[in-house]
Amino acid sequence: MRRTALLMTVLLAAACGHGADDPTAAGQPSPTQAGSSAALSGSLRIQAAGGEGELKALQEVVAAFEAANPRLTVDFTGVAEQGDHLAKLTAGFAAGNAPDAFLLNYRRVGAFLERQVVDPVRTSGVDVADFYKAPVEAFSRGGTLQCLPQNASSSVVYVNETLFAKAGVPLPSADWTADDLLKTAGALAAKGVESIAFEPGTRTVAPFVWSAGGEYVDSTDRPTRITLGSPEARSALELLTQLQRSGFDARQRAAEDPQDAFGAGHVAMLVDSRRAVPGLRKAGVAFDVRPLPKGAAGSVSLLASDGWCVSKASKNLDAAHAFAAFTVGDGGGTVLAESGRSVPVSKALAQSPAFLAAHKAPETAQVFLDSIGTLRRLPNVANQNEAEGAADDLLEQYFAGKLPLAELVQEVDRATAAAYAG
Amino acid sequence: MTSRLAVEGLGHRHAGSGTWALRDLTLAVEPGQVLAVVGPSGSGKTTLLRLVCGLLRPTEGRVLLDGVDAAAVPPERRPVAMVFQGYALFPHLTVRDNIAFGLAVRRVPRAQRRARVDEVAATLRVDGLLDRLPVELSGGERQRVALARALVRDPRVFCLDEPLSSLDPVLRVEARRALSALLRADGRSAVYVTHDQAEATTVGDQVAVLREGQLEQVATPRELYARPATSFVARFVGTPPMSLLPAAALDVPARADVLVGVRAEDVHVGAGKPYVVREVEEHGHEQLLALDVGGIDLVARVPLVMNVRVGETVLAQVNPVRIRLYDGATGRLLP
Amino acid sequence: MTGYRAGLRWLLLPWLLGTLLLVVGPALITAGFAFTRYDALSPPQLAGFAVFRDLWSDVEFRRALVSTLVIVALAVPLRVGGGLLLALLLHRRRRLDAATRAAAYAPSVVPDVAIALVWLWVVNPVYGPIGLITSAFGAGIGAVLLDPAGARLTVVAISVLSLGEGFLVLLAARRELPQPLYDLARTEGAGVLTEFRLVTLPLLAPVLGLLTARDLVVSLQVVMVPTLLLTNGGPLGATKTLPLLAYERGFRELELGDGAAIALLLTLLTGLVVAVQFRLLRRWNRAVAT
Repeated sequence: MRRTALLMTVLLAAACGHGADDPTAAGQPSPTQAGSSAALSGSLRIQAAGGEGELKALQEVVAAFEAANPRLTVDFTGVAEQGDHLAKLTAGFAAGNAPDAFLLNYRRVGAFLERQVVDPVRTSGVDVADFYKAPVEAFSRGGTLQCLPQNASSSVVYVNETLFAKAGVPLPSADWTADDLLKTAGALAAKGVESIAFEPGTRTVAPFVWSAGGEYVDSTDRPTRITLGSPEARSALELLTQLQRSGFDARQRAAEDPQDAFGAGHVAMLVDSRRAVPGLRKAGVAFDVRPLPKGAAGSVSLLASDGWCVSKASKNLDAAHAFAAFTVGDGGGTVLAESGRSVPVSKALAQSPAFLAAHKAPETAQVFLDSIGTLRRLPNVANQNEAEGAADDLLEQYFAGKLPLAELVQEVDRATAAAYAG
Repeated sequence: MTSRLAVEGLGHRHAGSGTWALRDLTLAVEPGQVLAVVGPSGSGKTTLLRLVCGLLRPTEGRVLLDGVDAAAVPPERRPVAMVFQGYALFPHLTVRDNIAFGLAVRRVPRAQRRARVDEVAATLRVDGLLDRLPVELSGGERQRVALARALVRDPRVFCLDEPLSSLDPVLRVEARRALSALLRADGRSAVYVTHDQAEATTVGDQVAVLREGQLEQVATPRELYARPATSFVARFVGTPPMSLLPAAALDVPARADVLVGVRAEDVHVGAGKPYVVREVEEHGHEQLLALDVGGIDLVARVPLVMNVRVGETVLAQVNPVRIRLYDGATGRLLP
Repeated sequence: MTGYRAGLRWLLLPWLLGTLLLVVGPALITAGFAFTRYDALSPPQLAGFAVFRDLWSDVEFRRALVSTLVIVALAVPLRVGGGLLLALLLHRRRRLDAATRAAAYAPSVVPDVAIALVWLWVVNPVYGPIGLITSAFGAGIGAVLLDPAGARLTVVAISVLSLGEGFLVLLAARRELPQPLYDLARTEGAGVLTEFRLVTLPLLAPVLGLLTARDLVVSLQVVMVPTLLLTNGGPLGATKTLPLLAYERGFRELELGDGAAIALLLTLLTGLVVAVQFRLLRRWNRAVAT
């Protein structure tokens, strides 16, 4: 269950506080455009959510930024869970006490953009032209880039090399198809190996629907509902249901979070985004990545991207923008790329050795970059979060076998229409 | 004739601490008689009551009710009714419901309950109070309600635990008289527990004195007063109790360790040997003098007209015919 | 005497100030927000009773209301009844007394997050104790928290385990009951059940009534944090109680007006239920007396 991991991080975060004990261990504070520009002073408050590894990497970036700007003090708050992060932000804005800059997923940024509390990105010092297109679009509204994308990532299939070898099943090729996936899963299951695990929600279902040639949301810019009724969407759900039979079912997911199960070597394949990497590295499992298998429409993956938003009300706008720029530039960006968590949005950085580091799994980090070309994104409207939440609750029930497909389609339509409208 | 209540070799030991609360007790109560049980606290009085009414099982010996061994008879089937110390009235029930409590437990039909309560309430003159709650009653009324609740069972034996202790002294005399009549009516018997020896000797046809779980003496009040069987009883019974002095101090020819027991009225003041008056206590029509006999008090009862002050020396002598001699070691009355 | 009382009033002052500042003030402000549309980012806009009308036609709100009532209806009697049962079992002084009483009370002092973690393990279908034992007999359990009834029962179970305070109150109350009343019942031949019905229950009724009222007020708060962490209100809103919905609306979905309105309704609902319960209690007391 993913909440186990969540709880653990809550406890860990509570235990560790946010005292960065190794200031610039990995990130040498190279003078960047942002860091060296004007002399920044005063104080800056930063807030972000993430797992243990992510927060640690961000703390290193903050320390590097402070080292580059000696007259500036940065107060960094790391929150373990996205929901709490959002709650804390809302409370902060309501109390007129919001952080100067905060990191948000593009699917959650809509509410803040709509209320116009975000100061759009100042492009000076950032080479946005060098960025991948998908994340830039995701954080844009009205033709303006509102928050500075800091990372981009796609859904991929992680494979456990040890388990494949033990079962005597060959590793899938990079251009495999949905059919190959089913066969591979079947072959693994025949050898008594749990084949595949995935989260039963939007993050898994959307790319499979797209790959099958269907639409997950009726419109990216003006969404009114999540659509699972099309034959393509149904076939994607059907495929995932079949996979579940040879792999992790609802009961096993309830016992063990998919990512933990893969890290512990309990399952041979995992559908997840780049965010799984730090945890898997720490678990010490021998793994590699493959793109999502091709469906009727090819291999279409889902964009995951976080960006830095600056509060309009910030008393230190210059420093806030400079910090955002720093995290995607050479200085901070390198630290984050090395942490393994994020695929940088800057093409130059993404091609750099820091990210493609051969000595660390996954061997074929290039897969993440190759996928970026075929990425699609979900809407960034104000109610995206609620709509996804409603759909995810129903999908969880569907994959637990407690909701028939016909009812799922109908309920998702009703619930997400209400969420987007409200 | 079989006794209404008899206990034979009765004993009870606490399961937890292993100490004996009551040991080797043999007593009998005849129909129409009240047995008063008296003793200091912890002497086993209440344990006796609980054994009789069946709340406790004897560790040894047996309880006979009208000649029948009660061992196999559960509390509710014994012809015994208990009146608890402090009366144990339910605060949330009216007088009527309190009196009917036992009938309710026994699932007696409502109409029958009503009739029975009305009958008993009239006997005890609480018929005007039936709809009140215990908090609205005086001490005397509560006592009568508790008695009514016991009477409802139509018992052959009443067990009363300090039934007058929560009444004020004036009320107590009146209540005691009413009680004495009620307890003996219709050939009923009663075991009446009290820590007050004066009350015991007034109410009881027989008085049993307990001390640390052992029976010291059981006798009529008159006998108990005149011939206390042990030095403990001598010191416990009577107002004032007997003075107990070493034989030598009073020139009584006896072994050195013998104690001489003297009632205050058997000390004659006006002649004899000189003693210093240590204390004078006036009691209406008479006064009690505490005479210093070698550091021990000898109490004398004299008329009020005699003018004596503390510190004075008076002449006194003991009536040698009325003294009792007690073994200094065992405390037993010597023949 | 007046000086003494005045002194007492001064002693009360800090508490009173704190309450005004930290409880009464915010509560009034929240009640005010209940009549607005407010997203925390832009100024609130007055909307009057339209907020409540919208809530009433809101499917999620209705479902939360039902979930709340179901959980409360299960949890409160179980908590109070469980506390009573434990108190009656443990009121006699025995050896190991302190240990058993501590065991009964301990769950009430464990932090919410730890409780949530423990329960995640307990209901884990593969590694948890229930799963392991039932599997050993060839049965096994499914994903409890994915099942609406299973999730609700888990939440109820969490709340029942925190019955420690009620247990302590009832234990003290039971020990205050005079032993002669029980002796009397026994001399009349009352068994355990009759004794409970005619002696214990009526005498403890006032305490039970107060405890139930208190439990109605706090039982939802007790399970709020573990529920948030364990089920996040799911599956399909089965454990999304009104406080959880208020939190979600207010702080996750930027609808503080809705959140405040739900909080206000919850307060009114609690007051109503407590009032009804007190009326029933009074009537019952009168019924027992006849």
